[in-house]
Amino acid sequence: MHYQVNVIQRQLRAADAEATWTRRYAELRPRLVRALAATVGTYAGVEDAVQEAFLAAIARDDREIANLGGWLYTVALRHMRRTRRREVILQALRFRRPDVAPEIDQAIARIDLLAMLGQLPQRERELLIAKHYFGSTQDEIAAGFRMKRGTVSATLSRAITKLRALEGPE
Amino acid sequence: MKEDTVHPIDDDLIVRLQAAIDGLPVPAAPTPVLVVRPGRDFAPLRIAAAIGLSAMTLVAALVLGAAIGERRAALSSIPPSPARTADRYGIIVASGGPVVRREDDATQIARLYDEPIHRGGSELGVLHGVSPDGRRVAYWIWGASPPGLGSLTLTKLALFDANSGTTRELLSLPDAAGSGVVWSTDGSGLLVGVGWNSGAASANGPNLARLRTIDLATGKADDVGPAIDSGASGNATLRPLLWDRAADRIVALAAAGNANYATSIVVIDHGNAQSYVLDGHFLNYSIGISSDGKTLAGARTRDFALVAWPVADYAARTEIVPKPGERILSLWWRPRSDQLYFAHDNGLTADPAQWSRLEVWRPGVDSPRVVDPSPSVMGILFRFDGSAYFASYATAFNSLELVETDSGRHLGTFSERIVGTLLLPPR
Repeated sequence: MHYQVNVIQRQLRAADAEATWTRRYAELRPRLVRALAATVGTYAGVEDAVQEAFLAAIARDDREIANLGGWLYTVALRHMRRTRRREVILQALRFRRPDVAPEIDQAIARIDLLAMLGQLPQRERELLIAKHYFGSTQDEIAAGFRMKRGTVSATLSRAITKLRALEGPE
Repeated sequence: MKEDTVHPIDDDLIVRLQAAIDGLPVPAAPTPVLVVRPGRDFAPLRIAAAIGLSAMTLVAALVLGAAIGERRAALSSIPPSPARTADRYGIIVASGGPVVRREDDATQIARLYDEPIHRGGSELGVLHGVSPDGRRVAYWIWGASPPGLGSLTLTKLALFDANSGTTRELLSLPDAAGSGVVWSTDGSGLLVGVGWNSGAASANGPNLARLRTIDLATGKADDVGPAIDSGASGNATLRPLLWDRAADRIVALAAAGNANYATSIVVIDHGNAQSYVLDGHFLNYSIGISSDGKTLAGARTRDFALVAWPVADYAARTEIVPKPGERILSLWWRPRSDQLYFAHDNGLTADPAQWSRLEVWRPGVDSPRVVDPSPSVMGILFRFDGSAYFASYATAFNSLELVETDSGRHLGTFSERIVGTLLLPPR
């Protein structure tokens, strides 16, 4: 993991002539951190996931990525899921103590709408944010999350309805 | 395929959701304490605690460091040390935009520009070049991008004169973005790269690039050499490396497609441009040229080797291929010398990676020698005259050590993010 982080940082901190990735990193990292924290309800593991996603993006041909923010978000989520599964196993085997929620997580709970968002199933949260925060198309979401497009559409619709219901009447 | 629309009532919900997410705090980025210099590799970055170094290793490193440091003086190519004028050595510090001050005095002398407002808290790089005499700094300023180049690019070139303490704008690019700046070897002009989007290509960056010279006496700017065109997709970059006005030679690297990898070297002699292909995936930012303009070097990621070659003769290259499990990705030419410093890491086999040693090599002259065996040297930034370097250690993540190059003597500790050096007038 740290080897990969170092590779990313080398590339991102190079600030070479066109500074393409430095600029992208500066612009997109805060959005990714916020979106991932809002999605999973904690900042724990978010930074690593963002770094992983940038590493994956740098290794790819830019031309293959139409919506970089949405793409990074999807890749970072995938990384977080993998990591979370591994940690659950390690905790079950008592190889690792459960993480203590960072204090910054309280910021998520203090924002009502995000607290409500947290009541939706994780997949619905993920798709909502991919669609409405990163502007991913339903085709992109379907490809990124390995879902049928129809399922994406239905999930998004369901998520919006639930969120509106959680908010209550105007 | 048609996208589903959102109910108007939900539009408001979506906007508030976006605002709620945007209202979340963002922890500070894992920011490096040092950018070695624009276009250069700087290593690592996670907090020192994440880089598990053993106490035994550290003790051994300190002992060995003292012993090996004494051997530095034996290197035959070391240039004569300049007079100790520490009070005149200046540094450029990233602090909400680049700030000039003396090494030994925290008082701000000049602010080159303000860091642009952008989303997020991580500071952008400071792309600049220091004149051969160290007294002037040419630097690019970030600005809103022209169409097709993203949101933030290098749109203005300016000059800071340390003697007068003044800045002036040299170049403004309403339709293009800057990419690199080097001084002519006689200090009379600048060579820059510019890129723009033809409109037919990807909207995320330049697909056309070319070089431009600026004569500082007249202010005249001229395009030189051919433009490169990456076609309908992918980025095109020309990064200047050398402008030798006396020899009428210009050298630049070209990257077409993936901006991270240099694809060829362009050499323009007396106005005639030639180029040759670089194979093996050289990291764009790793490529640099020696002070005498004769030798290029870069990190080849195919085998993580350090490769050096005469500017116009890639076939005559010499290579240092690291031992299994090691990589060489970081290299720095010492100013005013033919010495190439480079660092190894063991990231291929270790997690977390450790930086195993700092070495110096005179390509084509001798074999590499270890100058600092510490396993934690992550990156260095030379003073403009090569007399000392700022070193970043994994064991002291939030500080830099200023090390005298010839003696290895530690001259001081700095806690800022230093991005450049220059020579200031006497107090």
